[in-house]
Parts: sequence; C-alpha cells; structure tokens
Amino acid sequence: MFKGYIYLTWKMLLRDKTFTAISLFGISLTLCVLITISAVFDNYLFHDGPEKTNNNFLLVRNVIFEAPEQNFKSGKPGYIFFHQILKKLKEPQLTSAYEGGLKNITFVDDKKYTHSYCYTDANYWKILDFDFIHGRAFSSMEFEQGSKLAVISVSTARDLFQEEQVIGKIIQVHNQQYQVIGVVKDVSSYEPVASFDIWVPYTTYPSLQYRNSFDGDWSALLYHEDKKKLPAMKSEYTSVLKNNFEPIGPWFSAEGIAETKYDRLGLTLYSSHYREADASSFVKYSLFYAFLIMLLPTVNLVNLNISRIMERSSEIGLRKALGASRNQLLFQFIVENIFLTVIGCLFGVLLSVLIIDHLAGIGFVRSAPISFNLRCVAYALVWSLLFGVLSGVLPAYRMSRLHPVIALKKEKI
Amino acid sequence: MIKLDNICKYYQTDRMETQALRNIDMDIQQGEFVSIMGPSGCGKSSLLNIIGLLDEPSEGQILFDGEEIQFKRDKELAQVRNQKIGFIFQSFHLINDLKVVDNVELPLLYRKIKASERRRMALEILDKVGLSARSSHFPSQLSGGQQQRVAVARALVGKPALLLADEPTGNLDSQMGNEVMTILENLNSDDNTTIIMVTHDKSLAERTTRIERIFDGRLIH
Ligand SMILES: Nc1ncnc2c1ncn2[C@@H]1O[C@H](COP(=O)(O)OP(=O)(O)OP(=O)(O)O)[C@@H](O)[C@H]1O
Ligand SMILES: [Mg+2]
Repeated sequence: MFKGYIYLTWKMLLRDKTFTAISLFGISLTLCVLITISAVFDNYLFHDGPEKTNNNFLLVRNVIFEAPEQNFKSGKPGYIFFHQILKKLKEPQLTSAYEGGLKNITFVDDKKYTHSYCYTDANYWKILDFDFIHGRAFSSMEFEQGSKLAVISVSTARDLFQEEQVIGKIIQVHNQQYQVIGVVKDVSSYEPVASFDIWVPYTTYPSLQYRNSFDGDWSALLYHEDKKKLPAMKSEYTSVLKNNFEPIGPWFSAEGIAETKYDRLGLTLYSSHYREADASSFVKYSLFYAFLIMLLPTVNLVNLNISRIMERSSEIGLRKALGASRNQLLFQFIVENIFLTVIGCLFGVLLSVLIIDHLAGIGFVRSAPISFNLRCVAYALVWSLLFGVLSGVLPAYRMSRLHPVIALKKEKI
Repeated sequence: MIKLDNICKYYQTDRMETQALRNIDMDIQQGEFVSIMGPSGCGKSSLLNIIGLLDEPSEGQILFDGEEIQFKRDKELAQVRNQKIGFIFQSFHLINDLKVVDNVELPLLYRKIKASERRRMALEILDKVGLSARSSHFPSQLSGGQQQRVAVARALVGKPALLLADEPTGNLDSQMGNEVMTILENLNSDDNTTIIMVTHDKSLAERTTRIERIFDGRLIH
C-alpha cells in the first residue's frame, strides 16, 4: 500500500512537471536555509571534544573597563581580575584561567613548525574533558610549584618527534624547556576554548610581570557540575561587577557577562557589544526566525497542494467509492507530501553543502568555521518531515473530506 | 438485502430547492438484477448514490442486510462500501497512471490482503472479463469497451454482494455495451450477485429481472 502511494506520487510528479518544479524549488530552498542555520548552530552548541562539558561552564573573555571622562577599554581581563574577582565568586565549584593563542615556532630538520600554546592552570583539565592518549595533565601541586611540564596534542608530537609516545621528552616553548607529561587527541577549531597544540602551567611564565596587570589576555572558565547552577553563576558574576567592584588603577567600574554556550553563539553571530546583556535571546529569536522562514513556503505549498485537489478530486471520489475511509486518504496524501519534501530535502542538502562550504571558505562566521556533518543530515530529515507534515496536513484534510459524489463528477483522473 | 424506507433527497442551491427524490420505498432481494429507468434528471443517479452509501438521504433510512446505515460513521461506511458494494461508472474512472492490474487491485488496498494475494485475485478476475492479456497495459492503451471491462473487474475483484452500475454502457457502442451486459448477466446468474443498473436502453433493461421506473423523483408502477 505504502509502495503504491509512493509510485503514484512519483507518476503524479512526472505528470505535472511545472507544479513539481515549483514545489521542489520552494521546498529545497527552504530546507537549505534551515539546514544551513542548523549547521551553524550545531557547530557552536554541540561538541564531541573537550568542550563537550560546555553545558557546565561559563566563559569570561571580555570585560569593558571604564575610566573617568568616558574613557573605556573593552578587552580580555588580566591576572588581577581573575584573582581578585573571579576566584572570589561563591557559586562556581571550579574556576580556571588561561591565556591561549600564543605562537611557538620550532625548527625540526630545517622545517619550521608553528604551534599555538596556552598558559593555564590545573582546573582547566578538570573543567574540560580532554582525551589523553598518553600520560596525564599537570596536577594542582605541580602547577603551584611551577613545574615545567607540558601537555601536547598528538599531531604536535608527530611534528616534533615523528612519533606519538613522547612522554618524558623535552620541548622548547618560548625559550624554556618543558618535559612532556601528556599527549591528547587533537582538538577541532570549533572548540576555541580548548583548541591549542601545547599547554603549560602559567606559573612557569618567564617573568612575573603578568601578576601586576589588571587587563591582559586572559580568559576564564567558571564551572559547576550541575548545569542548573549556571544562571546563578552568571548573575553572581554580573552583580559582583556591578556592585562590588573596587576601583583599580584608572578603572573605576567594569561591565561584562559570563557567557553560556548560547551567549557565545549569539555574540559571535550577532554583536560583540557586551552591553547586549542577554545574547541567549538571540538563539531563541533565531529559532523563531527559522519558523518564520518555514512558514512562507509552507503556506505556498499548502496553496499549491489545494489547487492540486481539484485535479485529483475524481481519484478521491473513486477511492472513497471503493472503500477508502477519510483517515486512509488523509494518510495517503500526507505520505505523498512527505515524499515530495524528502525529494526536496535531497536537493536542499546538496545546496546547503555547497553553501556551507562557501560560507566556511569566506569566513562568514567569525572565529569558528562551520562544516556539514552527519548531524546536519539528521536535522535535514527532521526539518523535511516537519515541513512535509505541516504543509501536507491541511490540504490532505480538505481532500479527505471532499464529498464523493461531487468529486466523482469531475471527469479526469 | 436492501430496504429503502421513505427516502427523500433535496438539493439546496442558491435560490431554489430541488427535490431529486420523493418518498422512495424499495425492497431489493439477494440475487435480483434491477434496472432503473427514467428521463434525464429524474433522480436515478441520486438514488444509486444513496444506495451506494456515497450520499446521505435528506430523509428516510436505508437498511442493509437488516441493519440501519449510520451516515455519520465514516469508517464503518467505508468498510461497507469496500466489502459489500462494487461500483461501475458511466465514465469508467480508471486511474491512468496505474496499469490495468493495479487499477483492478485498488479496492483490495483497503483490506488487509497481502500484495501477492491481491495480484492473484486481480489477475483471476481480469481473466474472467477476458482481459488477462492486457493486465500490464495502461488504461489509455485500451478501447472504451475494454476500459469498461477493467472497471467491471475492479468492481468485482472484492466479490461484493451488491453491484451498482450507473449507465455502464452509456459511453459504449451497442456491441461493446452488449459485451459488458453479458458479463453482468453471467455474474448475476452464476454468482448470484445482486445488481442494480441505471440505463436508458430499453433493450438492456428488458434483459434484467425487474425494472423500476422513476419520474420526477417518484417511483411509478
Ligand atoms: N449536487 C447537486 N446539487 C444540486 N442539484 C442536483 C445535484 N445533483 C443532482 N441534482 C439535481 O437533482 C435532480 C436529479 O439528478 P440526477 O443526477 O439524480 O438525475 P439522473 O436521473 O441521474 O439524470 P441523468 O439521466 O441525466 O443522469 C436533477 O434535477 C439535478 O439537477
Ligand atoms: Mg445520472
């Protein structure tokens, strides 16, 4: 029966090629937009690397410091900020600070390698879920003592030593020697908090100068094992900045937010102005817009489908006479419509692969590339199913309720 | 097997009300071959549609095997149509995108029958109407008479107890009409299928076991 419907739909599509082309064009364009949006969201919100814990931490990476006479500076905080404000927050279970994105250049057999490295602390390894292939991370004790220990990614190991088992070997970072104690899996650049090549304790900084600066190049993570605590952490941070900020140096006040993963997505796509307090709402708006995007073509398809009723009314009358119930006809036409949308979906997927490729190429989304992955295929299917049902139910309902006698009077089947 | 009790049918159009059927009482026994005659517009199709449960009477009731039909219950109605009634229309109503055999299978789609069994039943009935060689043709490749025989096969494939035919030979020349009529006669005499046929053709009507005449929505005797 199912096969019969699909076959008949296929014939129908071939019979009225203009209708088919218009419908498919609309469907695939709509689905393409939705799939692309989903891909962007997906790449930001779901990770399978170290940042898969991103439901449990907030990121502090930008603060606006204000000085008298309307001077202000917007940028990353420094060590003092971390020490005097973030470490004193009561809600987080763990806080971690890191300074990432520094470049380390090494020559191996006359070949030049550039690796990014990151100064961080022991909590960093507890908050993020790195996948260790060999060895381990540095401990709190080793961190406090300023031990010159390093964790490196597996491709860094291969670059520097042509092998992966490199525990105990010595590497050179910023003119200092570190002993490798851990090798982790490479981290994709979709996970900017964790995607570095080398990690060393920040207590091994060559100079202690960093301890005196209030602003700087640091980012911080605020962690709680219970993700329901994130809002409390977030508002504690905001209110501490607002109410308990002690003037330091030229700065008499500071403003900023601790970002959830949604904030990060929203701010990246939408605005870098941290005064836009709640970027999460952007994500909600986007979902709403996705719905709107879908609405127009849905209405369109509903219309096309309804006009198709007239063409097929005698088939409907016939099927009723032969014993099809309303529900069976309803089912038939919904199946037909889903079939149509799934075909549209295939085109939509192809189109969005091209578009996503292009967007990634021109760097449409700052600071993180987007890519098409298997989950996007799943989104595509979900969207097309939803779209198919939405645009099919109303026409199918109307078709199924046609009066058989009147429907049969139309000559053509 | 069918009892019509004081059936009336009104059609409400813009300004006026058409009385298509007035107080029709009729009793049809199992195995009868009834032909319904009357001038155009007298209400023959309206009556047949009501007997076929495609349309609801404005007044009166229908008993089918002694049970009153509830027109509000779509699912039950569909089931009765599917299992007990076969339809043949003046204009064949075959689905052009489906092969002959798939057209014949259509009523079986609404029963729980395996695909292979459906196919077997369809081929068997096509053989009976003399079209087994055409089973994988498309309707447009057949003559009018052959198309109507496909429609007859489709009406019969589910072995209905009642066959309704609204001018089945209306679109056919007399020779092809005769072929179709012969099939119906055999069906009536061999399988004891009850047949109600609307026709304008007096010679065909005379071959049936009972003739009912309608004039202006009333049965005349
Ligand atoms: N859907 C409808 N709406 C309004 N009036 C209708 C409708 N269907 C039929 N009628 C009217 O009811 C009357 C009976 O129509 P019906 O189709 O039953 O006639 P008929 O005997 O089958 O005629 P014919 O021999 O031409 O097929 C006619 O006057 C017709 O105009
Ligand atoms: Mg008629």
